Amino acid sequence: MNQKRKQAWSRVGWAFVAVLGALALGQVALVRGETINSIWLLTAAVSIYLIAYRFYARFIAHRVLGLDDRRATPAWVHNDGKDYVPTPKGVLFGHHFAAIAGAGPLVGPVLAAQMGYLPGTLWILAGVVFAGAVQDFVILFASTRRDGKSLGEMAKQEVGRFGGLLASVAILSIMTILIAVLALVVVNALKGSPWGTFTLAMTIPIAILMGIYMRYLRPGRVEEATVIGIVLLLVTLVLGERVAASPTWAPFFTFTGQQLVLMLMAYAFIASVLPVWVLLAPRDYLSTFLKLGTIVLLALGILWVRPELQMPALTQFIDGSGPVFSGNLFPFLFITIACGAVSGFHALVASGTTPKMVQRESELPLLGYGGMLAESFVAIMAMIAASVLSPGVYFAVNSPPAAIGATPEAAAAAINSWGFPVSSGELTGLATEVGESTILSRTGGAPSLALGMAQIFSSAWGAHLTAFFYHFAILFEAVFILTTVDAGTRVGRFVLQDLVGNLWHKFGDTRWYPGNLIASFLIVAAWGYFLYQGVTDPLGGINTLWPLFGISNQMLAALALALATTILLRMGKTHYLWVTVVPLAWLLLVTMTAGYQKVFSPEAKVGFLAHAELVRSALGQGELVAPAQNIAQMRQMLFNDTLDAVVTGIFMVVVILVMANAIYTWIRVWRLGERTVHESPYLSLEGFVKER
Amino acid sequence: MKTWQRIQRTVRVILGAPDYQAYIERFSPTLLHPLPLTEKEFYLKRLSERYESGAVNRCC
Repeated sequence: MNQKRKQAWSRVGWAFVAVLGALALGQVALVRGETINSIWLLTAAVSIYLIAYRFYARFIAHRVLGLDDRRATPAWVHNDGKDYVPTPKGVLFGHHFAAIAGAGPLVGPVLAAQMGYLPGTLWILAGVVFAGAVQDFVILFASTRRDGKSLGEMAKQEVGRFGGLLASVAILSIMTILIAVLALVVVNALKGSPWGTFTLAMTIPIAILMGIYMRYLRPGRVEEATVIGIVLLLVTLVLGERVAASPTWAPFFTFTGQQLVLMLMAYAFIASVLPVWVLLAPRDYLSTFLKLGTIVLLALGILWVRPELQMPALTQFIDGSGPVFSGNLFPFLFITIACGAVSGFHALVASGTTPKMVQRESELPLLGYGGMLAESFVAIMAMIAASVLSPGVYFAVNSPPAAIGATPEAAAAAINSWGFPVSSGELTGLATEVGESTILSRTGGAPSLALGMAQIFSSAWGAHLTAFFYHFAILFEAVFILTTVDAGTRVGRFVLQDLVGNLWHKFGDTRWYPGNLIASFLIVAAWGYFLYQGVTDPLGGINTLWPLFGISNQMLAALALALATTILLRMGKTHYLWVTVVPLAWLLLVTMTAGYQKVFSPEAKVGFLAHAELVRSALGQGELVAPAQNIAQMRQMLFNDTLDAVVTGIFMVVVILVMANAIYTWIRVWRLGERTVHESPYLSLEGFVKER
Repeated sequence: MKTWQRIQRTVRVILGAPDYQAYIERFSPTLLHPLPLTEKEFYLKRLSERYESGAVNRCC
């Protein structure tokens, strides 16, 4: 009786959530003409997450994967107090979320806001429920059942050696583009900004100080050092304002984009060959702490202020003519927002430390599916932060100089002509308010996100602090992007050494110092080239590089989902293959269409080859194509177009090879009825838990 | 003290930082390793295991 009553109440509760979600989503999607409150967007998102988690994640857990709580997880079987440590689910959720959340879900939605808040929001919600969270969950499950093996190792085992090799190549290429595009975001935020540059530069001595503290003064006292680091960081943030105002000091921290690129490259090279305790580890702790803290603050700020969304639901730029990124809604919206909807990169993290710490299989939906829902929520908040800005300001910050010119007057005129009212006084006034010389063409998402966050924070906790909040938001993003640059260069170095080590044994020995130097140099040079190309690109670089990043990230997701499908097939779950096949098919459609258009589109704005052709014919007639100012720059543009086309082509070839390889495996498994899963042997949890 | 230790532990797990206490609790002497590492040795060893490999432990 009691059971029945409980069931009935549960039904009523879920019906309520469903109705609330539908109402909120209806409000978000259908209200036209007046602005809508961000709280509707949050309500719609949270209702959808709850329903997806309660019903779809549970369906996948029980029907598709067949989670078994009596089965011992690797944390118990290999419990060594180091990698394999049974960890309570709440804490582990924090660990997993800290590992998957980064700059990606903050940048993509901001760029996508050029089409209005609606298309991006709908994709974030649908993408996470049916693709992103599913991918994370299934890969986490697969790795947990295989002693915590990495994505590459699983690919090798389930799909064959060739699959493993492809995974390495994919990781290396995605790393290169990822670092370049994220570094570009930082450069665009810091060029000509002494305040921002000073605070970010100061994070280096602060991190070294923390490193010395944790190594010599109080060995291993991570939490103490992190608190000290955060306090020092806030002090430098305040000092930054003085530095920027000082005629003596400001010039020392005022740099052009090109100068910042060279400095970043030098920094990354040195950082990646230093011992990890000096810079990388302390910086990692600092940025993780800052990241989690700021995300919580942003959520509180939005709930507190409940701002109205100024951006329309849809703008005219769904036709592909937008200044922030070019190309039509399909496929480019789905490339622009990768993280937050579906991110292939998570497959690497979900097959990393988390599977070695899970206590019970029934906790996997919370960690894998739930963790990705939380990241998606971050993406929704980024969308809100971008949409609370007046659209005129949004476009002034996010449009390249080629579209809006270089002066506030020209920018205001251009943006007004698109139908978004803004005055030049408003633009200069806002720049002064946040302590910058200009906010024009600071493309890459971070600055407009920081403006949005500053607006939310300052209406919540003090209007006179706008400049401080803006620079806090910039610092928060820059710090963890710099950590990614540092850590990514190192990862890239190891993957490269491993790959080349197959041919040249000595190079694969990571204790061989010359090899380390050469490999680090090659990795830095690779991403540095794309970064430099991005900074000098008249279209702002983000225009070119962000789609490349999106394509490479979705390519990795396709690889992960193909692996997930293979595993389901081997488990004999043929009825439920659609769970991974449908998102896989969608991702293939999106990446291949986007890749094809980036290479072959006849429109010079979209297609690399068409643009190359434009430059080539102009060269033939001795004319210049803006913004090149001489023949050497023209040749440079031609080379870059060709290079970008080749890189995109490589991504597409990898996707095709992965799919061909996977389909070959599927047919073999199907025909031979090869139902061998390569799971670790079944051990009952009982023996382990009693032992404790 | 106990609460502080719990906070310390939680923070370290979330940050992915070395947890010496957990290591000591699990340590059992073998012929090759009759004594546990000191906190300093353990810290450096864990850092290099975490960051000096091709493993990706943070996403973008």
